[in-house]
Amino acid sequence: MASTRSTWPGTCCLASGARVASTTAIIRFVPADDRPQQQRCGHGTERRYALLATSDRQTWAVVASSPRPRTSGPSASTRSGARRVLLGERVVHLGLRGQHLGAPAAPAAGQHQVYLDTNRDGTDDYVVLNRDASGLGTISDGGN
Amino acid sequence: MRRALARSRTAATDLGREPRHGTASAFFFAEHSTNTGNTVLLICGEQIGMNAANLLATNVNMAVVAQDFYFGGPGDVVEG
Repeated sequence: MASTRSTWPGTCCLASGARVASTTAIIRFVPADDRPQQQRCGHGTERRYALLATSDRQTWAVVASSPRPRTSGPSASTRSGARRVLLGERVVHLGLRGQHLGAPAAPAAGQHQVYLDTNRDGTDDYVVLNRDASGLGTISDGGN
Repeated sequence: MRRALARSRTAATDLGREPRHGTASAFFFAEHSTNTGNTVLLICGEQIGMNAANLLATNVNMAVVAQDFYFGGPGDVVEG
């Protein structure tokens, strides 16, 4: 797993000393019919919560969350590209929450990287992280 | 040269084999409210290859890394 992480730039600067105060995982299941409404800022409907992620060394808790807009904006989310998401019966939202005691209240000052081993074979399959919105303009926002 | 927007978005990157390796998507902004140390990262299940069939049926392992690169502070890691 460590070798996989080394392929992602930035983790090499990891130091020790601070504490991740809490790390929780959220998963939201939103029926596809609610998706257009959910995509409007602040008007989402969350039907169910379920805990998905587990760890041998960490207890993961389900916490509440509020809907938030897609990066493409409420108007752009109604483009044809959003239909691809609607094809499925349900849309799964997985939220990951981490608190860093040493980090100030500045969103760009800290980075959280969540490595997911979705098939639990010991090798990380995905990494989820926050990064400045100005970077990588070609990254997919889910639309076509 | 791009300027930082002070807005973060949540990116999911596929670490699998080629050709998927390095493929990234960002559907949502990262949530970081005022006067808080919490950061909430939201992704769609499809960004990590999952769907509703995984509801209450699939467990995943995770490890979390935190970095304070802006002020040069130390980070931390919670191994899964």
